[in-house]
Amino acid sequence: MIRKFTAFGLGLGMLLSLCTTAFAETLPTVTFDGNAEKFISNVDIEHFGDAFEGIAPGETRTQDFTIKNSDDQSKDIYFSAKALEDLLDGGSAYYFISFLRDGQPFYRGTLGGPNGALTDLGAPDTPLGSPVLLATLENGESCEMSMIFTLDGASTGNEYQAKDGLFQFTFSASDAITPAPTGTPTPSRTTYTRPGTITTAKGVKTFDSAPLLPLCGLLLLSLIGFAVVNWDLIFHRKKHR
Amino acid sequence: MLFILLGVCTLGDALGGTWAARSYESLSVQTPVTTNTLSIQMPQLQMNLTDKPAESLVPGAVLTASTHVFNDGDYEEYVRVKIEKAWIDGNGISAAGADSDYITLHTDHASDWIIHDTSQGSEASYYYYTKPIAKEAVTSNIIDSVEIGNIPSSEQNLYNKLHVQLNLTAESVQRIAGREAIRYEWNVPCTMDENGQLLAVGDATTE
Repeated sequence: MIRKFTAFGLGLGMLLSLCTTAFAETLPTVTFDGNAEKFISNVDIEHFGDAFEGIAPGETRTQDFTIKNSDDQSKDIYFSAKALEDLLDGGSAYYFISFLRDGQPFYRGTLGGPNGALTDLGAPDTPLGSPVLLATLENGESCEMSMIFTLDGASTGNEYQAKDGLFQFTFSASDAITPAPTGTPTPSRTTYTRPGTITTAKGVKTFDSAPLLPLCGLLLLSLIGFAVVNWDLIFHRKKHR
Repeated sequence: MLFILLGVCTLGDALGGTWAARSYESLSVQTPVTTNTLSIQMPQLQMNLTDKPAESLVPGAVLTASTHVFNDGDYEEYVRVKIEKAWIDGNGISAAGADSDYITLHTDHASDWIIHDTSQGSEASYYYYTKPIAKEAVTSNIIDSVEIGNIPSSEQNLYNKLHVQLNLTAESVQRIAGREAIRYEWNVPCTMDENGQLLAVGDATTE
């Protein structure tokens, strides 16, 4: 009986350690489900990774996650962030945030401060909290993301000890602006990447259609102007002849 | 003319398609961010020198007295200890004219500590522990013994009935971004090796 009990104990111990390992290795994955037309997460959406627990001022932590597109069509996947709760009531801790896509840096900004918003350091004129284009993904395609946070040491003193805060990350999707031809490799993942440098993803504000309208108006006017001028030239040439 | 207008309409349609891109229900997730505690403890000196009979503090006497610092916080930490030496009378008042240089502190782990005098005419010195202390770990002893110097007989009347007082104050900063923390909190530059071991503090640094 004692031997059986011992064996059971060992077995249970091994099982528990296997479970622990499996849980620890669960990488948060956000998948755009084309049928449901929404995102699904493989982890609790109120506990999306634990990389930032126990962070110290000046410390850099990395949260890896995967984004995947399971829709038939290519999708642009966007990300926005907000410090929902600061570490300290009335505090204004800053976090430096950067993103790596498949190991390549492509975004650098700050999060937090008095309004808790995301600020694009690469494009200071970008409105606070504007979504970041993470990737354009084809059907079934996924990419590995690394979200790197540094808690600014200058904005956090001793009063920031043993405090709790909360980040909110929002994933959104839209039909890819320029769908790649079916069956051909897509260059979209390198479109926004410059290896070795940190660049800003242009077109972050693609949800905002406002800047396109004046552009179209200008194009239309210039083409009409061009037509009128040419028409005038042709008309005058004919008349001259 | 018809050709040109058709071209304009086609361009307009193409551009129109781009801003009509369909968007979908978004997903918001939450991630906790927490900080831990920085904390240290320092046991009392094992021998309370102020309670020693004055007769035992003869010139050349060596008294054992030891203490260390314990990291009871959550982070790995750098530690420094401010040690102030003084001669006090029976009322605990600092004795005027008594020289604290006649109080010599000895440690058996001198290589673990970097001594940095404040150079401000005070009797305080800072002892920097060279190694970061892990959670629930302790430093080596800061002091192992105290020696009373050979006070010249011409001065011995001044020290009659005086007591030795040592005030120790320990401070710590986090190991993470430790160089910046030491400079910011303790206002001293320092040099570290790749393992985070302090090599020099203050003017001797090669930052």
